[in-house]
Amino acid sequence: MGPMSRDVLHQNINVARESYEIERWWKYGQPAIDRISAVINVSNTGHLGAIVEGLSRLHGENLQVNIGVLTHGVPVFDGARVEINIDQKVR
Amino acid sequence: MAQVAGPTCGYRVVQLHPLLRCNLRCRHCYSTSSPAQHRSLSLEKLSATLDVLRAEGFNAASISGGEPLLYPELPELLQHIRELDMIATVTTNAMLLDDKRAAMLQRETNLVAVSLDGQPESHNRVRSHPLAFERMVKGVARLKAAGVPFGFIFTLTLHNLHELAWVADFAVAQGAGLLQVHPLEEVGRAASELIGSAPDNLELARAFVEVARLQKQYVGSLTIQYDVADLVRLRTAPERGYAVEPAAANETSAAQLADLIAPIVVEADGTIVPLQYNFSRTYQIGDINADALPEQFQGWKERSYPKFLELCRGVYDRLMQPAATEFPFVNWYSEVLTASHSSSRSTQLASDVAPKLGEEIVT
Repeated sequence: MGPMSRDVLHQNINVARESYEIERWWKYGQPAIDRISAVINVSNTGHLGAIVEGLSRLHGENLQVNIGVLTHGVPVFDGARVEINIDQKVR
Repeated sequence: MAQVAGPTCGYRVVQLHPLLRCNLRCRHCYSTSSPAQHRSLSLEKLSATLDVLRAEGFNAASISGGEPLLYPELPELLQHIRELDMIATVTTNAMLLDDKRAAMLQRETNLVAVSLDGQPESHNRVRSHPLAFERMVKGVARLKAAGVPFGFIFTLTLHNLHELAWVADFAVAQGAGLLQVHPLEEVGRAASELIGSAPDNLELARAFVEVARLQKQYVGSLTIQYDVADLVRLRTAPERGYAVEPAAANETSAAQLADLIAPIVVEADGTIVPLQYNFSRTYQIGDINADALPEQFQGWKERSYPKFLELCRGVYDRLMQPAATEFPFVNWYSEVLTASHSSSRSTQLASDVAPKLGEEIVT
């Protein structure tokens, strides 16, 4: 990010506000998020079942876990892309 | 009574420092943790404290340190947090992660936060260890393999905003779900080793624009959390900064502690303080080494809480002065922490001076 004048910075802040809002502010070491999205590429197909099972175990009263598995390799199944969304419920 | 919102809203966080021992001696460490520190809190005391805090409405426990992985009873502590139906997070430098610990974190935590201070050479310099980055990456790989949700914490200084884009890219490549951007506070070891390195008002504004740009770029794959208060937002919602008038004493007295204040910090000496490590003891909420924690909390609600709100209102009023800041972003925690110590010094000064004045009058 290069240097910018103060006037330009003020303008950029206003533009940035349109897409980003500071809803909460946290302390160092106190991150909490409402949703985690992640993608795992599994190259060893023998591990796929255990990985999906492990992720499924996260599902419960506190967490809503959605998992999508996209296999690749035709005709031989040689890997998979696991897409995960974890929503956290705050009580 | 209507609950006071505070900066973290529905998340009512207890930050625990079970120990100050750490395998590193980071230059920016606010708790001055190091291998030479040996103070720690017992599992029994921490568990009993958490029982009381859960009953007081806290719903998340964030374990920091020191390095939490050096706390021998970490699995049992996390298990207790989960049994209390609280969100559990652990902040670590990730260097000591092996497969067994990663599996334990997968079972017992909601999120692991890994400290990351920039590109490898910057990370190693801040962490005072030539292999800190390399070993952190290996630890993160173990977290990923174990299916642990994790994020990175980047400490923003006056000098490293240009590395944030690299950090975000690295976080996405590693499979992180979160990047927390937290401004450096010149407390603890940073007060002596990183003098003048805390981001100023201009740098916080530049960082806001950069965070927004990166969030747009990585939307859907990475959540970027920026730990500063937006004064425009704070002006319309002063309760986020506890800038509110105290409720009637009977209402405050009957409220849960988490309705009045969050986050709170349990320091490694057992002191419970509001908001921030090393908050002035003038506003101390309790001490887990002393008996009758519920009674200590009750006393705080009745006697100290109004003073705490007065402190926050003072900070708010100052920040809202037109000439206070050019750009509308501040490290609110740092502002309140500093004010807490200034206030303590004023109180001490007044009590030091008062008897002398009295003596002169008598004479």
